[in-house]
Amino acid sequence: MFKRFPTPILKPYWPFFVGGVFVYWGVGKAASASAQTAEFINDPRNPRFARGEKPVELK
Amino acid sequence: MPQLVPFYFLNQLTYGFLLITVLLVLFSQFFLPRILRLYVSRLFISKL
Amino acid sequence: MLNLLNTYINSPLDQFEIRVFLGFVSPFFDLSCLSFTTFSLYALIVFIVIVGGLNLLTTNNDKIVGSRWYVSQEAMYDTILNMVKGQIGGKYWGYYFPLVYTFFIFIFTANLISMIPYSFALSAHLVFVVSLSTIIWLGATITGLYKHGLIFFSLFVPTGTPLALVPLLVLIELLSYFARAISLGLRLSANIIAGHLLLLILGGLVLSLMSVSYIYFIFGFIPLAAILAILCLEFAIAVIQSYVWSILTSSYLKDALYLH
Repeated sequence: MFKRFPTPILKPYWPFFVGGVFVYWGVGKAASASAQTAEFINDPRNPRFARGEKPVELK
Repeated sequence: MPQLVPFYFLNQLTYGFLLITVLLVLFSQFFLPRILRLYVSRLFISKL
Repeated sequence: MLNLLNTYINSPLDQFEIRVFLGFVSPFFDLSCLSFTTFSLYALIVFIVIVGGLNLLTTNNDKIVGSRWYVSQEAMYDTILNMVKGQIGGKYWGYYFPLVYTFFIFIFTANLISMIPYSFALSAHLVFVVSLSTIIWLGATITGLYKHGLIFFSLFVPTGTPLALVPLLVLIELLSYFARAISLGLRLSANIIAGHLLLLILGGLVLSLMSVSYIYFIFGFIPLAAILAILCLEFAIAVIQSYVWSILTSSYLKDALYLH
């Protein structure tokens, strides 16, 4: 029903995967930086509470 | 827009890029060649 | 803000909220990005609709003449094929056609699924869509630099400009080139956010209008007809924005591959 044709994926699209790695790293850095700001540091959805860090939440 | 500035950036990116990569591989190796094969076989049948 | 106990919608922006259904907590590395949230649920739904609904179930038992759903798939295939062949053309259009097709089908399906009432708009998330467009822009730039080396920068000098204007023009061209990265994504997500927000706000207003008394209920069908017209416009925007994304992607790839 569906024969697999080995169309090249890495050969034409490797710049997009490289760009994807850069963007993923960049957005990860931005997300962890914005999770430390005063607005979001005590938000209950912050993953640091799941890791066990339950510091004094008074700011 | 608070809903677009939460902690789910990496979650969105992970699942989004995973979906797009899987779709890219599936389309380019299975579904698009099948459509092309249908076109080529119609051409062969009608024009030989 | 986040309301987990209240089932009514408090703010029109609540429709874009992401909730965690199955959290992923790991001891050493922070793998919470793999948790199952509304975004991943709808990504799974889009995947099932695209792969299962549109490709696996429409094969019509491998007959040469496709089923009616398959005719729609072939129509989309033809549209994107002719668009990519017209935009990119030349020697390399075939290599990049699956990428443009994937983006078109993904955004098309995600936008149409977001039109279901009480559903979730995948492309309304600014960070995801803008990072997708940044990846396309970075990929096109790296392709151009790899293929043409330093001659790639001749892209910023339009042909036939007098030599005195070249520095100013190069700066302007550079600015517009860098703006492509975010404008592509911002266009799509701003359109979807604005459309969904407008429909929700107008719907709420008409609801409070029509629930006052019987006279208001009768006359309330006129603004309801206006909302119906805006809904049709939203459907058109959902489809057209995916086409605009694909055609602009092919245009940026053409600029990088063939340098004007």
